[in-house]
Amino acid sequence: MFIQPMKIKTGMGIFTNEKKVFQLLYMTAKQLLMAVLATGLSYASPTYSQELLKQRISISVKNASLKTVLKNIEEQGDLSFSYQKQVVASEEKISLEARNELLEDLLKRVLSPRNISYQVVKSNQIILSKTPEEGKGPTGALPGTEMEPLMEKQIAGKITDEKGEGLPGVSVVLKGTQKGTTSEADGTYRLAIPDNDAVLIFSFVGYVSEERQVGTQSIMNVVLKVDNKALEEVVVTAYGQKQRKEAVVGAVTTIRPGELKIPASNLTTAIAGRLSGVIGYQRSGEPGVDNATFFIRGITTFGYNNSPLILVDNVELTVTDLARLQPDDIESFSILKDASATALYGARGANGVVYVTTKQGKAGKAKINFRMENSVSMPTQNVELADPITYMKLYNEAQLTRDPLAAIKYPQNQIENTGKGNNPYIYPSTDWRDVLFKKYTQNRRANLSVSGGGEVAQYYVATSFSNDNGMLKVDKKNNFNNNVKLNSYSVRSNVNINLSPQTQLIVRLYGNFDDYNGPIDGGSGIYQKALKTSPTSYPAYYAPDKANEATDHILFGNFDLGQYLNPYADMVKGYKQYSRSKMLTQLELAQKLDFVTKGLSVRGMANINRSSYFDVTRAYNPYFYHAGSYDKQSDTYTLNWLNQQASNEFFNEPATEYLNYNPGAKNLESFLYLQGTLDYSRVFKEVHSLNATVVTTMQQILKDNSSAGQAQSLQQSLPSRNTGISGRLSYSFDNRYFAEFNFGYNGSERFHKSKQFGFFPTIGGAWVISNECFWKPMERIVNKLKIRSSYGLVGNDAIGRPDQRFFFLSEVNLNNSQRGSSFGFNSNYTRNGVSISRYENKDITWETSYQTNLGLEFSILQKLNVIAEIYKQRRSNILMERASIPSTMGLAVTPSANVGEAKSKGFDLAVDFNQNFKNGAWLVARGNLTMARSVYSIFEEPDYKDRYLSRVGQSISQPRGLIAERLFIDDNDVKNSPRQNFGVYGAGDIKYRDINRDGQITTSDFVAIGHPETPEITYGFGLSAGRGQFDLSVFFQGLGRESFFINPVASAPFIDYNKDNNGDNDLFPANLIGENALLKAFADSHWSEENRNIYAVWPRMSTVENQNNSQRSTWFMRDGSFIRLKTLEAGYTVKGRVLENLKVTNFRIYFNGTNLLTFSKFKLWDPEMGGNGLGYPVQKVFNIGLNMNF
Amino acid sequence: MKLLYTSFCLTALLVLTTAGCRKYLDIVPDNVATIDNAFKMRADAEKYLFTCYNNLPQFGNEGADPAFLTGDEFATVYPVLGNINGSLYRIARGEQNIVSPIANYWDGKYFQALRECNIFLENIDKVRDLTDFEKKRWVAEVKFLKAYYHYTLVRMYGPIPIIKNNLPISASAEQVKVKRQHVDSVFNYTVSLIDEAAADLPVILPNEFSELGRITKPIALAIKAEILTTAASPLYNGNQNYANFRNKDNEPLFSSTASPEKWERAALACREAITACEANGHRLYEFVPRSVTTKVSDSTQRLMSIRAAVTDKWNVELIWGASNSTGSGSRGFQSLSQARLSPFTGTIPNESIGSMLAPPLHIAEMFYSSNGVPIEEDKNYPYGTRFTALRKALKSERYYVKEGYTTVQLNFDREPRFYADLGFDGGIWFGQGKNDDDHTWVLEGKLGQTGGRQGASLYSVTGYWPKKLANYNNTINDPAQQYNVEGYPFPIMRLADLYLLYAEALNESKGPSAEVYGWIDKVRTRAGLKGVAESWTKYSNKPSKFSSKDGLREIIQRERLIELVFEGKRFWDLRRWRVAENYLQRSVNGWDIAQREAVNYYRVKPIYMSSFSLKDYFWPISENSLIVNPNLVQNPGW
Repeated sequence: MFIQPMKIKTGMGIFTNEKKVFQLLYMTAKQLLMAVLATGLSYASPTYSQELLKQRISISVKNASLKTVLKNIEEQGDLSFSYQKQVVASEEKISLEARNELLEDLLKRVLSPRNISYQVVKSNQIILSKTPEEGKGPTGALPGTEMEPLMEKQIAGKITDEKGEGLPGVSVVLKGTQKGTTSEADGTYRLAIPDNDAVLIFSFVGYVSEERQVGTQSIMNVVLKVDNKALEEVVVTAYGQKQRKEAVVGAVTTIRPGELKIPASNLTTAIAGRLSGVIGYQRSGEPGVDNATFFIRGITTFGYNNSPLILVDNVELTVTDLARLQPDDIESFSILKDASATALYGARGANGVVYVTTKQGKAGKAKINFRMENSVSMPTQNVELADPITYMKLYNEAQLTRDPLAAIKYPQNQIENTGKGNNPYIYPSTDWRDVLFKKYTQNRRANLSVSGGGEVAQYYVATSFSNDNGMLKVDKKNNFNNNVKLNSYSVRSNVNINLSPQTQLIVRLYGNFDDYNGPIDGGSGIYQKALKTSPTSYPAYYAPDKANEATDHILFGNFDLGQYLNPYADMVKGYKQYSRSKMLTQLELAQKLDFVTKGLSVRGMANINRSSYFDVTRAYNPYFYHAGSYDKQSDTYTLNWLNQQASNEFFNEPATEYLNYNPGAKNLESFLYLQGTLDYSRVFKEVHSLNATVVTTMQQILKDNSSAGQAQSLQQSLPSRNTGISGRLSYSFDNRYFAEFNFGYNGSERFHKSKQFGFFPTIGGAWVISNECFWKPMERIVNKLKIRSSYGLVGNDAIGRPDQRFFFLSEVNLNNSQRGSSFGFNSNYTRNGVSISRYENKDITWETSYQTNLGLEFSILQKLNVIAEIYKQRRSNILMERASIPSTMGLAVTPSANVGEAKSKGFDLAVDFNQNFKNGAWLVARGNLTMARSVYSIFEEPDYKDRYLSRVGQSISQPRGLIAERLFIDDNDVKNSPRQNFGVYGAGDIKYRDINRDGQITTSDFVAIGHPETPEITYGFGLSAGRGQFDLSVFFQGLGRESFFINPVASAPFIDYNKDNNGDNDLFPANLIGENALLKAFADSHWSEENRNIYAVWPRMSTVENQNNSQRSTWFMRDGSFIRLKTLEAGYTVKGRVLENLKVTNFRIYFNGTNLLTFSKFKLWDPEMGGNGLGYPVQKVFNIGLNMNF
Repeated sequence: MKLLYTSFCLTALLVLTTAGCRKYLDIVPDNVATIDNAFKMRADAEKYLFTCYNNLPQFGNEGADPAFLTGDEFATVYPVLGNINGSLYRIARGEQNIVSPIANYWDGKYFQALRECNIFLENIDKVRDLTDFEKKRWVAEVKFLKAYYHYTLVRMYGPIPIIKNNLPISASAEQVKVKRQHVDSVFNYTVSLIDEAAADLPVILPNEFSELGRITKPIALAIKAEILTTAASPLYNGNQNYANFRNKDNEPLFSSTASPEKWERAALACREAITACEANGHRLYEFVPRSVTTKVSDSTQRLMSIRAAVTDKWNVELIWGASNSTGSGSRGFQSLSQARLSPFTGTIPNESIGSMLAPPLHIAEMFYSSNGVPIEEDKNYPYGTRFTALRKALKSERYYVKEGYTTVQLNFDREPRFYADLGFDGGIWFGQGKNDDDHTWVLEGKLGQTGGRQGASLYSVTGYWPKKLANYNNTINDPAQQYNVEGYPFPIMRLADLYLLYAEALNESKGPSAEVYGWIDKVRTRAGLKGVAESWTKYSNKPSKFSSKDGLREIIQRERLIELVFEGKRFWDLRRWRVAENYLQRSVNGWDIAQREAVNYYRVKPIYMSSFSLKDYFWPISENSLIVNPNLVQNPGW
């Protein structure tokens, strides 16, 4: 099937299992089908929505066109009218006054006199068509034969949308004539035509017109493609305001939630490459900690917080909350990019805003949507390691090349015996990854939503479940499961209650719960430990010797005094469980105030969230053994128990056969948000449209400080608060000229009273050229052309770490046990000391971003839509540590000040293209490109003599390092080269370039090297196509202009490095000993005394960190750009009588995969992981799913 | 009308919210701790006083005290495997650099300490319930500490900026770019501070039980003597190497001509200090068994007088002990010095014993022969075969070496301090729970033996142990994997040190004299040796060495190195005498500890090449500090 070619193309390893994987997929598909068919029976119900007509509308217009009246109704009623242009083309001016009238009555009143009939299709769409003249059939269809006896040929067919639903009211016109008809309620049409050369034009508002030559056929079915331009007409902007796309002045990217559906239970991984204006990437693939990193328009500050504000239904949430959202529940997903779009968020919006709204119920019978997926995931690529024999040989080489007197660790006899495969307990050769990890794992997801309602209330209720599993093997020796298993559940209920025609109450409840079970170190910790353990010093565990035949516990392998890493023991010794909950309640009251003045309304909203997290660990303390003596004759050994004493230096507690309990971190958070909105919206004299909004907000976040890692301090215990008032005033003239003014007057508790509030104004304007009269001639080709621009200020109050919140206060610890002293005969008169961790500075305030945006939108032939934007930002007042204060000042901490400034500019481009083919096939192509570059413009730094040392003018994430020329040839070469000041070095170590020619290599020789570490370019492009019941889509995503570094310490063979890949946290206690794995690439190409390859990948081996070689340099810099087949999806929509009988309106089965192919110059690991290459690999996923609607 | 109503509503809303907002954001309660709280009450100010003390060097901490692994008194396992903080060992191995200087105390601890001292002095008047008497004492203590921190910096870096007062945080960029100052100015300022302090310091601590370790007048005077002796020493006094070591404005930082008056001043200060100390009851320590079960021979009594002069806590000889550095942690200097003495009962040795500080062979060679002269000068000592001749210990040597045990000549016929200070293969190890002279521990150090190499890191790499630093009262409990340490204050200054400083200053200012010999002989007598004149005349092949100023200088220096070995003095002494390059660039050797048989074990095995050159007399200032403050000049050679 279609999978076949994919299998050939991939070619990247792990293929022994592919067959199994597909078998698995096939089986799951079968199970799924059965399950859904079973559930389907109980949910079937017809859908129809006359309720729409029962809503009440108030309207008051004078001398307006019918079109305006309809638009007005659309806005109030949350519905849309579809009609042919000529239906409402009348020039007649209407004056109308209606108060709380039923829509049904209103429509009758307005439309009947004008010979227009209406019909409700779908839940909120009303189709208008000309009522036929007296005597014609009531449905309006014109049987052509009766009308035109001259016509020679009959053509008939059905007009459907992409989903195959019949479209009523479509205009079918014979090209070059006035003759034509409209389609019936089920989409069928019938028309008499002169001959085979006749060309028919099918057109319908909201859809792309089609031209077809009839030819010899007598049945011609037509699929009309949704006109994206028309569909995206409404854009959700700040505070959930819906603006017509045409009227949007700010830079807002929206995406249809459907496009965020990928086979992963983490929404953030779908963002990169799909939204123009977003730079994103994913560094780890471990369930639960696989959030992608993303920035709106790149990183535009070098301050503490550069991540966007995330708002779901107006409420600020975290990235993890966003990650857990179900695409199926999302109504709109917008990225607010420029000052005009984000100004209302004042002091918080400078890094852009991700704005998501969730679905609300629509009146009508219950609609059920059900989706279920089962996927198989595996690493995209595994780092290749050297074989154990090479490992031992090179270990010895590493010792001897640095110290010829060293006692080698692996004697020849051991190497030989290991090679021969003799007793694996005495001559171990452990592939730790093989011992610990499976080749692939399975994940499941399902979600179900029901929506509907009546006149009084509408509801949207959804629930979802996902189950993600890690790759760890579950050992039968153990009686508990310690593989990573993350179950995530969520329930969402959005209910809208119409208290009166003017008053609506919206209640939103949402709960999201994660239950995790996994190894104590997490999947990532275990994975990294596996790459930090010697394969040949000891086995994972021993088979019992004579003395231990009756021993119950596992005889874990270790060495020396038991202080060496045994990741197997770490994995199976116990497990950690955590629970994360998020409960969100939201109450919103909307009141129309038309009785005060027309177009005025108020809304009030209150939101309370509670988050909690806690974890517990249960583990035993492993027993470690080492084979003490080995009798070659009988092939038997005796084991020495290494950690038998309780107060062992390396283990605080004695080895146990029973589990111990360890309470872990607890995080609690309460969140309160209040919002009041006053809206005024009115159209004067039809062409002057005025909108005004004033929003007041108050927000409070209160966190506990009890989690293990967090410092507990009074200052951190104080709530975080934001408050402010912001507003928007927008005016448009005749849909041609748009102007907008926004302001935010916001305050944050972080700053001193005199600096608490800031005023952030923006202005913007747009000109829709294509609505001008003079554009008429061009309209056929360029059917839309708009330019827009904005300028303004936005702030960022999160300028420092949480513990640095109150810069205007000093932070003093008056009882610091680290800073005290003891006196007396037994040194037991002790008083704690005083320490300062921050000096007060009342001038600290937020960062301000000055943003300019210029946008161009056009669409050609209704098919190609382009949005291009360029922007410039200047971020001032960036908080940074003073660099001019010498250490002789004796300050305990370096003070910070708002002195930094950054400039950025960039370019966002989004292109889409739609094409429908005569045979019913359709094709959509989409692409987007984001380029963002930010540079330091003011950076406090010492007054460098050498200008290249300055960061000013360089990218914010520009890496700096030494330029590595080559490896030293020999000691003579070393002597004749400039002195390198980083540690001992000699032949075979990296030779750096003396940039300032002072005869020494020091930090002064560090220069900007490579591209920034955050990609400057993110792009994606994809193609979806379908015909009939089949659809197929591919999506490629890539990053460009990014450099990363192979961590020269974390990847250095043989050394003991207890930090994680980022060098931030301890992976294991410093008194334990690890031994880094040897990458095959390094084993194959390294400098050795026999093979003095001065351009080898790895310099001279060493068993300890070589400070000279571990400097950041071009030697370990790699190009991080790549392009990958991010998703591939093939779907089949099942049709048939059985489904119809079951009242299933849509049934689609699909197969998809993510991260299937990667193209990059870098071959050692998945390039998206960057410098984290030895971490938990990014996953490749094969998925099968089905989606059903009732 | 409607419009009016609307605008009224809007205005009201605006006013209300903005007014409410201000209050809403005002979340910081009153009474949040500020630095003012540190000087409200006596109890608070006392904490600040203790903070000032907190910055004292961590004497004896191998990870922080440069005098340990940075010098040549100790070797250890390398690469260092997590059980010992070996970062400073990298300096000894030649890895010091300007990019990220090892033991970078310029960018950190001591300038911060000076700022804290100044904060204390600026604010102490604010304390309401502090008596004038106590305030005076506290101020004097902090002044002394301020002086001591200057001294600590000048020892490491030479000329430094003097921090008389704190610069405000808002100081201008120009103000903060301070210059280094002439070493003489630094020493003079330091001494003047001590003089100011000494007047208000107590002669005897009012409450010894809770105050031992705090500064007294005798301490101040003794440290003043050490500082002045340092200032008079060749490194600082007329060092030609630094004739061109100048500030950017060409001000010299060292005097290039030696000034003999500096020695006179030093001698005077030593005299004054000795007088004050002796008046206070300080005298050279003689061992008195603490318990009746302790049975010692005269030989052992002598050894214990030497050994316990350091480890017997707060003994009469100790002038200033570091009450915060007692070496009692799980990897404190006591555990790291202790050899493994008892055969272990389980499958692994007692890991609470660190056993990682290993004196190299040249330290063992440094001790005198039993005749009280250097072994290379002793006419009777078989110097040529010291590494090769093996023999069994005689019965008469049984308090030094186990009777009948085969060991090398280097371990025979040595002065008592050799046997008191060093542990070695076959050596007797008194104490550690075995306090009966006839039943003592015997240290067996070869591979497979109790004290020999065990595991990957917890062993001596040379075959010697600094027995001197391990309190004889510490007990070993192998089955429980315990080493129970009785902490003692690491000696910063003891009387023997002061005597030898005085002898040195006298010899330098006035030349050899009976008075000089007298001060040296006091120390030698306690060590069981004859006087300088007698010993050299009788046993040395340079019998008149003591009578010349240069010869006597050599003798005094050797005496100091032996008497104060492992006490963190050698490292600084070699520098101030300007002789470090003679000691610190050579092969550092030990015995071949990976051998089981004596014949193989007693082979000299190089451990590493120590590295020292002229530039190493002073540590480099980090490159970054020089860039931040262009008024600073780098130390010569870096």
